[in-house]
Amino acid sequence: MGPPLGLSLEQGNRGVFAARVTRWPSTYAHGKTTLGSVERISRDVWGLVARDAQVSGLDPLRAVYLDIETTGLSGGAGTKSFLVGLGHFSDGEFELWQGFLRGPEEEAAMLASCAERIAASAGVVSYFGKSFDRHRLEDKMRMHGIAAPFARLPHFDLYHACRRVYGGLWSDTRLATAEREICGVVREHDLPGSFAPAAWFDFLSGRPHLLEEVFRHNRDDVLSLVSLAARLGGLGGQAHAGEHDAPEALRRRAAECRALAEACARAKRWEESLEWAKRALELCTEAEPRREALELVSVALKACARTPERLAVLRELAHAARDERAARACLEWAADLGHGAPAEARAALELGAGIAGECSGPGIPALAARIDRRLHALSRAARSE
Amino acid sequence: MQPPSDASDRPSARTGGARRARSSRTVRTLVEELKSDPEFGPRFEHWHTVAARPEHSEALPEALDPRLRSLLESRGQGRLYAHQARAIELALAGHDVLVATPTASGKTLCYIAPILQRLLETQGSARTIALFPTKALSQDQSTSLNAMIAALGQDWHSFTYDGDTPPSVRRTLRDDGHIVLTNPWMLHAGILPNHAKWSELFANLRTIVIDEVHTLSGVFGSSVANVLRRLTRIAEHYGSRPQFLLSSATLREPAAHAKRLTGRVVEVVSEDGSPSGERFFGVFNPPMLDRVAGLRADALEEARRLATRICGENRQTIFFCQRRTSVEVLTRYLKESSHELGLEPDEIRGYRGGYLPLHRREIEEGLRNGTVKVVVSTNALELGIDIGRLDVAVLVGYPGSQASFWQRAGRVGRRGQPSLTVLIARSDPLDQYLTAHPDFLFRAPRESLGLDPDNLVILSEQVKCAAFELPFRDAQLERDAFGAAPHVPEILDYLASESRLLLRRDDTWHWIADAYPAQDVTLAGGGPDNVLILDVETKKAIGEIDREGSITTVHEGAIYQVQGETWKVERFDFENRRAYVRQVESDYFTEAEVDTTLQVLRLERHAERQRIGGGEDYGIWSGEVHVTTVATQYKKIRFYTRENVGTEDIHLPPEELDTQAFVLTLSQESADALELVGSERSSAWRAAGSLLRRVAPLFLRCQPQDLGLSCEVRSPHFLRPAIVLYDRVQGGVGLADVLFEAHRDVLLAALTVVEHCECRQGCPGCVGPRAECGALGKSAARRVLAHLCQGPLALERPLASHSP
Repeated sequence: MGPPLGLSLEQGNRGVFAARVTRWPSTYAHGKTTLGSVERISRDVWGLVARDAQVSGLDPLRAVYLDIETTGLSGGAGTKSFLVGLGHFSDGEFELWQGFLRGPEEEAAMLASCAERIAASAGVVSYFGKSFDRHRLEDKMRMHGIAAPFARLPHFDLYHACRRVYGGLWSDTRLATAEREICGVVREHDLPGSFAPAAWFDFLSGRPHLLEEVFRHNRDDVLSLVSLAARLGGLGGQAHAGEHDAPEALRRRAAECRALAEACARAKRWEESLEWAKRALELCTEAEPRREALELVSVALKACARTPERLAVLRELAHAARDERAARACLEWAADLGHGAPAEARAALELGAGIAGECSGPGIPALAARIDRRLHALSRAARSE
Repeated sequence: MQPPSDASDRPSARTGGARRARSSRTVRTLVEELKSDPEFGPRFEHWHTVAARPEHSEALPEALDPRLRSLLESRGQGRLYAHQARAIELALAGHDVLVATPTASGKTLCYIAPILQRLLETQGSARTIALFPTKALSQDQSTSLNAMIAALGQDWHSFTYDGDTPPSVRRTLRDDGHIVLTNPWMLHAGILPNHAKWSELFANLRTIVIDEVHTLSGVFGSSVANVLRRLTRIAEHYGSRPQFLLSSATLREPAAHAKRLTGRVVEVVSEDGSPSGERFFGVFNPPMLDRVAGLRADALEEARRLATRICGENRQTIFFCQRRTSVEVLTRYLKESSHELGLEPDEIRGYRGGYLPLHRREIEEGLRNGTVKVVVSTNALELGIDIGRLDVAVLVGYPGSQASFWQRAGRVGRRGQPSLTVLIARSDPLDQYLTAHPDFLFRAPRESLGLDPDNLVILSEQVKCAAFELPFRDAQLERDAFGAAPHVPEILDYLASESRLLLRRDDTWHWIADAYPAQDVTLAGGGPDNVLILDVETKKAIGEIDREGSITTVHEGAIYQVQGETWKVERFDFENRRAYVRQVESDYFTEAEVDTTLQVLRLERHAERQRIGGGEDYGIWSGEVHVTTVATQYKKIRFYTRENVGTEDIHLPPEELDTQAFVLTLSQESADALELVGSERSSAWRAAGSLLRRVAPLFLRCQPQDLGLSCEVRSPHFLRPAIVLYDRVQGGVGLADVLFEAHRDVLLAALTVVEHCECRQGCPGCVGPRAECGALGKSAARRVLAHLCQGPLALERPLASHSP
């Protein structure tokens, strides 16, 4: 058998196919992260950044880390997943199983084995797999009458989490960017994924020279899944050594705290949201991120009914700019003051009215009208006293 | 809840028998009034009456489920028309069935009842795919199906699946759709290539409904026949063998058409049991304005004036126009003169394909419930969209075929009540022939539909799509849906060894390429590649138009009309299929002109016959041609006066077509010997060309519109008279080669038509009417054809590498 090396034949219940198995000790470092560190993640944080309660029940040591190589991106019945990488932890080691089609006729045999392996796991970790890998496999499994295991398993798609946390910092959210930025993984001589189809077609016509590189590319993808999953599960924990001062590191940590604040707010865990938002605020140096953090603080304070603290925050927000958000802050500021401080409330509302008068936008007319009504109410109250 | 479609055939409490009785009385009176009208009476050159036909009804079929039985009884359908009862009975017994009866004869029930019965029998697991030729029809059917399902108290779902279906809904639809209503394009490019996503549907697929199968002919129909092969092949993979339930307009040879389309022997039900009142037909000829030029008053203007006699509060009238612009112009005219008709402007509506779905639904509903009194439509309302039956149809111009004429006429005639159809003739030769020979209209249909699923080019493309979907296995090829087609093993071998798309392992052909073939394989027949028309102010779509029509309708400067309102096209983004318009008050509309040129690229085959005594007699050729269609300029035409108020250039890239062509040339010497001189030569040549185009489909099993025609008395390429017949599909589907092989048979068929036609100087049945081919066209064409058909055959000779 020519390259790739190390293939062995497996007999599944739908026939024979080939696979390659590679193992690493848990202490193996992929980029700056050891694979085994995924054991120490906070499952609660996983669930929060995944925005999926099922994921918080997923044991990282019993998950499968999935990445596939296909004959095209278009999907459809004729597109084949010729290489399926499934990684999992076993006896203190990380084991990568790469199921491979030596020919299209082995598809059913290989997919049946994939389905068993996935079904035996506690859930799936992938990068963009909820939208791509899962469906490619599921379609083919259905076509071959193999029960697809995905629907009942938790699935942590790291892509969406990365986009939510870091989307504002990077120019794109491809896996290569994420692994470089967060895990310090730098690949050398990587075969771009787009070459994969041609490599397999060449193999089928007797020219297997590029295939080893496809296996390597797939291997690196799966290892990065583990590293990324570990880092995302450790968000909010201790800063990593040497990262304290660099401005990019500060920005990244601020983004992480902001993302956790948002996630906690979505889960209505307000005290925690407030803590994360305050941490984000401390780390922010630039105006706009600071303002966003303040807004999160304000929302959390409101939910926790901590009005006096919130007044200061709203005052800052009201003066932060002259736009719709600021005008809205003015209105809330006046509302929070209640009847106790009519003069300050009037000042807040007049500021808001002034800002609203300078702005345009779909929400402005209604906002201006509300400010106006409050001002009238204040005047009426003043007259009746 | 919308009324179920079939209910409109029967009087119901909601629509009220009284209103109908009143309206029907007026139709008969109306005919009398028109006949004696001092102005319009003489313009009706012919009246024809078809006697009323009684209803033939039968009891509900024995095999019908009691729940369906009581549902139908509660809808006043305790008895069915004979054809409905027969079709349902056959379908329930498991036969594949084609119901071929006129519009609005209650054909939908013939498939709805069996579908619902299958669902009842299987506790909701049976699935159906229903194909409709237009989006509008499928949405219409979905509404009536859901109403029936709701009345049965079941939690089943019928969905339309087309380009408008949002991705978020598609998932639900795939998993929970019991009845999926879609069109051939979506099936071809969306559903079949992704069959695994639809595995639930395919595993339980019991019924395939195809509505209006008479629209499936020619290259388009031949492609769809192959899409159906792919469909049954996939169903088989998931273990199901669905039944076909088909419907069509009245057809010549319906069984043969259904067999070619589905590959199955289909039971045909064609005796219409629905009642019909007395039907009046009037052929209206506008007054002659210029006897020398043969120019008559504008048909659209005559339609507007006739409307004052015909339209009214107690009557629903439909006007059919040939073109979208005419629909808008007439709608505008009628709205502006609404007070003369005794109507509100809102009671008069335009209707055509490019309107947005919601807008169309609203007009259809208005027609059903009687609030819309007048509708002006293109052929969009020719197909079975449910608008109930109306009272009077006015056809502004002959629609080009008997089938279309009867489909349009079928829109009028409420249950058992008299109806009127008026044909307003235009100045053009075909219409004028019909005013002189109106009996032509009332003969049995003579057009048969061409369909050839085994056309090698179409078949190869479709086998490619099929191989992407499921591997072919040699051992199972005989049982495969493509098993009956010739040359499939050779095609597979070609796709593997030459195209490198397939890989053969053992006895199986696997798809191994990074491609999605359905995307590149066209079905012809227009397709859903539409241009969206956007209002620059509101950023909202106000309509859409097919790509072919866009170059003459939404070029920059064009006036685009909707319901008589005018928009001016500010920018036409041809590449991205967007036209940006702004509403304006315009007193003119626009008409664009197109120019088609044909260029010979490469000749592949040539045969020639020598004259006795030497020299070339005639030659035939096949090869590649390049056809360029370009919109050149547009005229601004004032409403009412039709005065031309200016001409502007259109700057758009040309539509390019690279295709195959068959060419017939005649030598100068032979033309002289046949005494073809002066204008006679061109009329003979044109007459022969249009006749060849008309008879060629008999041998090609396509439709005349699949072939383009160019007749030149002196072709710049061949330097002698040439008739060029080209394939109108990009790349061609091999029609030219078949013509080359069969040219003698085609010429003979053409000669037979001319010789057997009783007309003296040409008619639409042979070389075309006299006004088109000239007084001598028929006799000259006959001489040419007789000459070409006599004597020895042309001999094929090798072509020099360069063109002649």
